[in-house]
Amino acid sequence: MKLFPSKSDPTPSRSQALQCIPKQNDTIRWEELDNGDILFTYPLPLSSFFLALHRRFAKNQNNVPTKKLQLDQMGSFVWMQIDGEKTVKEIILIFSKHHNITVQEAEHAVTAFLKMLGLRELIALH
Amino acid sequence: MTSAPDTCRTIGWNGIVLNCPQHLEVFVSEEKHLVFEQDFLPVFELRWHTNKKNKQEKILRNLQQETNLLLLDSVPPVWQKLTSSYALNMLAEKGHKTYKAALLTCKVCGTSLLFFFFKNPEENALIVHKLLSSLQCHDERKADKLWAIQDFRCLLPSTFTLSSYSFAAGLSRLSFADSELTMHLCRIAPAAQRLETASLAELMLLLGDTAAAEAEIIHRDQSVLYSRQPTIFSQIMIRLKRKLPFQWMILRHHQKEDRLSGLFFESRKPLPQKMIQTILESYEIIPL
Repeated sequence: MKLFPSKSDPTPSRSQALQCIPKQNDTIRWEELDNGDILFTYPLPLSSFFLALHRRFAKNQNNVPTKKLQLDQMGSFVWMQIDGEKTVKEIILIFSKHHNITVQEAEHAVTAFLKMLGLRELIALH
Repeated sequence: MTSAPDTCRTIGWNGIVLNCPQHLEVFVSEEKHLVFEQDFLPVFELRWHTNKKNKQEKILRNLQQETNLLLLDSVPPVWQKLTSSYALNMLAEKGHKTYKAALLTCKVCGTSLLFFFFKNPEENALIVHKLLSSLQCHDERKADKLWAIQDFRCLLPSTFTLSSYSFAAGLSRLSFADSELTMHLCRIAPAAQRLETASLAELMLLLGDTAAAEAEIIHRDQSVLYSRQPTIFSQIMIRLKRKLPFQWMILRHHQKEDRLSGLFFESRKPLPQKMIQTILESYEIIPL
């Protein structure tokens, strides 16, 4: 047995990541605008100190500070594909077909976009 | 992986030309490294280099040390016809009779090519046969070099060397240098979405990193063109800004394929118009 066992790498391999199923965060409010774009409204992840400051000085103290994020046409398309059933791989193939681009390009675009959504805690990968 | 016959497309990248079955995706991993994938899984990879100094024995020794592969005595029938043009070595994993890699050295140009198979190549004999029967590492006529990847192809003079490249989502860009001439080739997809937010001329100036008055841009049917041939005084002023004075650029809209294709030339000296026209005529979008 090793004295200092090496930590297991939590980063999934490419094939594992492609098999993952992205799921929308149920606590996030989002709406579809007239032009088809998606608009998110999500609470700002503030520390308890800043939340206390907000509660003390904000006009409407019950409202949690929120941030808005509007997706473009391509981003909105990917968001609508996230239904909790389709895998990342399936979304890439649908995206590639819909936008008439190569699978390689679709993979770049979709994975970068999902990573961005994940960092903002708008989706989770299962 | 299936070995059913299907159509092929020609891949041309940095001196290598081969026919690849349509169902394989080709990824440019490095300047001289291509990965062929099917269903998001690598099937095989091809690496090559043209340094004549490196002898095949030395490469083989390094390869065996790094991969623990062993040299096979026999050459499979599919590969045998290559022995007239290439010095051939087949490598296999210890205890296996099926080859895992093949090292080829061209008897004419000295290019060393390494095929490494991630899956059993004997299951895909047809694919291997198609690849090998079309493989080219040099052109005896010293004609223009083919660059064909993704959904575009272009013929460039053999003196053009690849200086950089990028394959971002929706924007593929290759940059070449030939003595004092610099050329950038780009391909944008999908065109319709890009043209929703900017005009063809705006996109061309943005990609070409230049500023020009609307009157200086030539608008043609489905393309825009800009050319700069400054006077001596203007050349000095442009050079002071650390930019190349002579420019020629075109951005074309391929409506049917929903693509934009652009060519951008820059130089310190007047540009060779005839060569530019030849390159432009050869640059085409291939429907997916």
